[in-house]
Amino acid sequence: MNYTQKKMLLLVGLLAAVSMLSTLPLFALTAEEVIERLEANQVHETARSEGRMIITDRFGEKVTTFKSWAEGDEKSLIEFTSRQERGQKILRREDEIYLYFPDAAEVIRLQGAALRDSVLGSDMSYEDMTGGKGLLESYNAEMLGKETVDGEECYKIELHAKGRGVPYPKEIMWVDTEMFVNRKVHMFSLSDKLLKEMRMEDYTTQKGKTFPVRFIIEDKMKSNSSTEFVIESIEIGIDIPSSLFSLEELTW
Amino acid sequence: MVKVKLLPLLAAAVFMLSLPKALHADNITTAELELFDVVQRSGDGTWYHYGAGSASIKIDQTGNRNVRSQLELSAAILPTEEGVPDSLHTINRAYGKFRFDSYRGVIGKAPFSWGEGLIFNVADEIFSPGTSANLMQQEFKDPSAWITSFSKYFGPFSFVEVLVNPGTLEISQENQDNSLLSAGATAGTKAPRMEDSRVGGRFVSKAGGIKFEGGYLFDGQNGQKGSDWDYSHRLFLNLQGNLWLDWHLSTSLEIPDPKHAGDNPGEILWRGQLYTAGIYSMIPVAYNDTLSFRVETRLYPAGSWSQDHSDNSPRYGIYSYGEISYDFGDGLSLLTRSLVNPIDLSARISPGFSWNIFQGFTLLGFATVHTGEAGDTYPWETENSGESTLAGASGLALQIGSSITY
Repeated sequence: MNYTQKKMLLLVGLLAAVSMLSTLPLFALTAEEVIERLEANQVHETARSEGRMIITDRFGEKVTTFKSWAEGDEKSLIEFTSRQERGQKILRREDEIYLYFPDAAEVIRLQGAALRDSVLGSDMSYEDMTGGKGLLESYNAEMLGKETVDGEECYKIELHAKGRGVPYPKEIMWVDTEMFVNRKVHMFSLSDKLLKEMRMEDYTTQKGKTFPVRFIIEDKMKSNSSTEFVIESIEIGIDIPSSLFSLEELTW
Repeated sequence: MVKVKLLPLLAAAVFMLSLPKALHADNITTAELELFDVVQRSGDGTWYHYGAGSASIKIDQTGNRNVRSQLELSAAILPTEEGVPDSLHTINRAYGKFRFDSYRGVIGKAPFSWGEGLIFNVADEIFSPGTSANLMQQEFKDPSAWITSFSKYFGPFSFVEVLVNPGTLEISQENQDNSLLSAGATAGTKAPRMEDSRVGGRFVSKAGGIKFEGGYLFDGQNGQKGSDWDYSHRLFLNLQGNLWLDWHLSTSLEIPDPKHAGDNPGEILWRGQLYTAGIYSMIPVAYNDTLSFRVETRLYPAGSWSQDHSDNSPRYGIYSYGEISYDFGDGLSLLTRSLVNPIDLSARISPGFSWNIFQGFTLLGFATVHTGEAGDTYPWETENSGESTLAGASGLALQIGSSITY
């Protein structure tokens, strides 16, 4: 084999290797890596949004509107703007949540298990609504394969709680293989009974990040019970003064 | 026939409707009704049945993020032949507040909320409901007081506040009949003296997961609250944290004017001490329900530690408050509250429910039973016939009704 042949062989080998490497992530992404990419889409450096939560039960609908501000996944402030809940606020800083009730001019500090309590009777907990710990801090993840949801190919990942500090001991999520967003999530009880189903219905893309702006949580234990969460406007990567996540703003 | 003087409320509603459309954008009006049907057995054994409730209109300013004001007018709704006395119409809140950088100011009739504790709170001893709290209500609203206050914030959880709460004006009946009264400018209006004011300040901060709050209040109105003191100095310290459950611990020291203080500093310190403590927790049950409980205690070491029927209102050494509620996650909550005097072994026990069925509509039902004997803090029967016919003050009361917000 002469020098030119050796050089050609090396080049072909190199191209083959590069080609193999470039296709490798499609097959070799672990459950943890998929979740990291999912969370990179969902956690923003800063965000300001307005939206509404529609709680449906056997008596009809309750519509709650809100404004929210967030910095990373550990600081957020939510202010309810609908007439019945007007002025109620939720402030999250690290592992603590502060609730403000304007009629009583009272601040309640929630810690520990209380973070899992439902917000205004919805299917969302304070922890769900205000961010907080990443999934991989609370769950062990296992890749179950791929399935199609709403015509899109998804990774099917099973999550098992590491401890008791989470609302659901087991979850199964379907993550879009292209956009790395959730398409569907199932939440299970300790006895492996399906409790809730979350379906993502609409997405938006801003500054290279794609994330859901409309999703529905259905309570599988009750008929006609669901919570629809709609983000009507959102801006990410904007300047938000850090003083916004303070007791001063909470009680204002 | 139901006759209710709702003139202030109607005036506010008409005023709101007459505003140009552009101005509507800068405020939001909310009406609240609480209406009950009440059955009561009073302390003298008489049974009563009547309707009662309250109505309020709240107007909140919304246009400017750095200026906030609120006007809340309320009236008792009582089915009387003569109409509702003027004393049952009130302006609950009328205040404005502003902020600039890290400074904040408040002036007007505003909620006053110092310290920690729902029922017993040494930092808020003057305004907190304490041992006479009416347990048959959906939530315990903070009373308001005329205040002028300034605060300076340092970081996310620290601030200092100085506050002035002037004494109250005395207005003669003749002047009460005038439709408009300009403050301090009308003959027959007796302005409070400078020394009748309350003046104080507090500092709030957080370190190591524990919230600290310390403050001082000069109380020039002490003599007007049944005490024979001319004035008093009140110091308090409050700690609040979480150790599996939320807890708070507070202490205060009240020092009377020199005329009543006596010469023995040890005695002054002993008689002035007051402690309150409490725990609170919300525990998720199953996947959607919540069990909450709260226990609070008020400890007055120099108080009476044995049953005392010789005094109309003895200051007992200890009182407790307990509350347990179960929220079914769909708007229905069952709860039981109780105020207990462990010394005379009497209690005010109040089971109830609230059910938020539709948006802004909640069904409410409460009962209150008193377990003590005549002369106790919470008596089933009272010694004097007709001593009190207020629902929930003695004997037994049941009320069912609704709360509507729109």
